Amino acid sequence: MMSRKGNQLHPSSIRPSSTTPDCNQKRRGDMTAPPPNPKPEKSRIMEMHAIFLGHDTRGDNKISIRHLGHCLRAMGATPTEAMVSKHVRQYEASTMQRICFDEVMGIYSSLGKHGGMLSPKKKQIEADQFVSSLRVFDTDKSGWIPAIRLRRILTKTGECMGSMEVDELLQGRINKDGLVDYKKLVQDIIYG
Amino acid sequence: MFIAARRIQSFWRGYRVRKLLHLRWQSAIAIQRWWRGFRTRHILYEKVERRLQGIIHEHFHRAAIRIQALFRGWWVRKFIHDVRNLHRMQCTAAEDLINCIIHEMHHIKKTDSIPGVISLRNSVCRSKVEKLLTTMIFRFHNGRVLSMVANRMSQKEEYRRHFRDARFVTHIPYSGPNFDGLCYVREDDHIVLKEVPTDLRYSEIVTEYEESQLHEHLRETHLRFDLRKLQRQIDHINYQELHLKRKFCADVIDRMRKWTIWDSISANHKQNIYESRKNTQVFFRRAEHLMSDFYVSKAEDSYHVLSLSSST
Repeated sequence: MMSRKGNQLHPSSIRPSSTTPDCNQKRRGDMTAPPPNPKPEKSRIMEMHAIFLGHDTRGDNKISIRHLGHCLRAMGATPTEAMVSKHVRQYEASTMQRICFDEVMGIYSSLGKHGGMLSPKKKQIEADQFVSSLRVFDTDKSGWIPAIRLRRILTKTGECMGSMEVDELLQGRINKDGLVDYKKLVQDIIYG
Repeated sequence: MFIAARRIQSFWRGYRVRKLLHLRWQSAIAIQRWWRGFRTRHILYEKVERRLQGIIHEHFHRAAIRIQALFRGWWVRKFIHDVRNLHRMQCTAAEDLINCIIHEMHHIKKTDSIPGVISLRNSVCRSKVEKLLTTMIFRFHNGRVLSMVANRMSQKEEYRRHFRDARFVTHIPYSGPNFDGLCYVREDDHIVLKEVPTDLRYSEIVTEYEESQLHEHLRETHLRFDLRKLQRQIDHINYQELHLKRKFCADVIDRMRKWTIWDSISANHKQNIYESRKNTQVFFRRAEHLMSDFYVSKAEDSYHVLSLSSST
């Protein structure tokens, strides 16, 4: 069992095969589903514009393409690195180094369920999904995950995080036995 | 049948493992996505605060630098390198040097020691020394103008005080209007410059100097000179008239002294006649006695004797 798992984890053929369903799902969503998010209110747009200008370090009402992820997350979205990389790669291909607020707003609107300020109901749904994601790694269903395992998971699989980020994530959340209460973690992240 | 069963089992095991791994992968991505969003939003405020603090610090830093620069400049100019004082000293030294040169050139020109100092006779171009001397003349002119202005102001003040006092006191007798100065005709020949220098910087100075010669003060000086001359002539005439009177008496006495009748008289009387009035009367009385005697003796000179007695 373990040997088979070890053999299957490292091959790179799994990732391209795993990304294909996302493309299929997205295309189906684009073809059939209505626009995912309604347009935000004017005050919300003004607030996001202020945050956008906060990332403008040159003073020309534009941000660098490399800061797109930071800007989207600061405006309230939680995109995956694949989405951000896709847009960044598109703009770099068209030799655009800096983009204006309208384009960022378009990207923000096209993020689907990953973007926008969530309502309490949607927040609860996202929290449940988050908890179910963490429960996948909780083999004994006790509500606690070892910190070492969580660190390895976040730094080795998926869209890898750095050690510093993981340290910051786990700071103050590890008890004396080296376990993490992931339900409390989810509450802090979603509602904090 | 055994081979078919084994194939079905192997496919099912592979499918189960692949599904499990994919689920874990998706879960990891979800966890990372949420944490990145949370972390960015949480860091945003700290980043903004740090940037604001940096901007404020930069502002105060720039203001402090400006203040320090101004102070350093002020301190250097005041204590180390006082440019204004140096400039004043330099100008004063230059003026003193030029004045010394002009004085020396003036002295040399007076003594005719240097042949090249004086410009040519009929040329319109002045030499450098002549120009410096012209500047010297203007220097005197400047002092003269200052004294003239001071005199004029004092005179005006005196007139104003006199006018103020005239409310209570008036000079008696009134000397009458001054008609001597009304018809004074100004001589225009003095204003025309015989040779105008080519250098226009000095022509104004020379013209002003020439005009200053025709000032009222000079006119009054001329009038006073004429009056003095007239007075001198009048005195001369009066003196000559007085002199003529004395000559007549002396002439008469000298003629009487030559008469032959005085031969018998001693010489003492002759010398003391003019000293006092008594001697003169004594002389005339003695002459009368002598003539009375002489009248009886000589009959041909009766006419001459009568004329003499009547004249005395």
